[in-house]
Amino acid sequence: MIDPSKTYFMLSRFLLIALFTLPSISEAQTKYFTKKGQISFYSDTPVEKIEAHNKRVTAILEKESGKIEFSVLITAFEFEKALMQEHFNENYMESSKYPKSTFKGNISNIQSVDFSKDGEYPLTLDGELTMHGVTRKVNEKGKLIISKGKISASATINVALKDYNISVPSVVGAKIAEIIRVEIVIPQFDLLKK
Amino acid sequence: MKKILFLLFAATLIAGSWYAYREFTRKPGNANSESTDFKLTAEELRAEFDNEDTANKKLLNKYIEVTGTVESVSPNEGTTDILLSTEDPMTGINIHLISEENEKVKSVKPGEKITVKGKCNGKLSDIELNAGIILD
Repeated sequence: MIDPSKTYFMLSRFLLIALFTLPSISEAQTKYFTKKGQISFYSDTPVEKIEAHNKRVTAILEKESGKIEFSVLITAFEFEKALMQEHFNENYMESSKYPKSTFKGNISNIQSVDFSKDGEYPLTLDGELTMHGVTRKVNEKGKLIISKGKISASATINVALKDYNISVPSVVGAKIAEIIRVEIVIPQFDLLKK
Repeated sequence: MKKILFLLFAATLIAGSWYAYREFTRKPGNANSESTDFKLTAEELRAEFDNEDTANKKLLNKYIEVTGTVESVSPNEGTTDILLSTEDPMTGINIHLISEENEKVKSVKPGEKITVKGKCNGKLSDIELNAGIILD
């Protein structure tokens, strides 16, 4: 037999807790996360094509605000040839001094994405890219794909080496493009469990 | 005399070109080809990163043998990542294996104790190693 006064006490306490926690729940952001994003970059010149891949990019996306962040470790980029990888780390990116690169920004048109409906949504990315110790504002296009409730995304950022104080000696200058195409692919965002 | 000089010159040229060709086509190293710099447990490696700057100076690009408990094994675009657990539930040790390990990794199960070796890339949410192999 349940004591009615006890039930009343428990019920009122439940209501009280609900009253205080509900507003914070509704304000909380729905966060998506992955550790398996990919960043590839491509340098195309008539003399040589160089590409490198990194399959362990962390990315976090807030559904309501459109806030988005990427982080990548520079020494994890994999090249076809050892010399390219060594020059990239030692001479150009100085990865022992600047081991990480990040993008922090916003999807400014996140409101136009209907997360409940399959489709391909164009995105506008505004934010700050930090690499080689230099932070610069970037504004680029990307897309978000919703398919059967799964979220994937991609974007391309064109990086001018001189903007990030990366100088290429003129001897190898002809082999390395001045503008590097950086492709970001997030195969799948997972709902972040608290 | 002239003949000897010519032969010497030719030999140098051939050796030089051979060296340059070898250098130019050399593949990036991996845990199979490189020697071990450090042997640590997963928890010891995590603790090194309590001070990220110091850890980066000491461990970045170094090949580390890490022993720990497998938290998860997950495919990653044609290769496999093994996550080792540490005492901090938010930080694991993630080893990105080379594709040559695709067969061997099939027998690795969560909960097992394992020793892997890889090149330290630094810390994101986990401490990341790549070019990795399974040792034991």
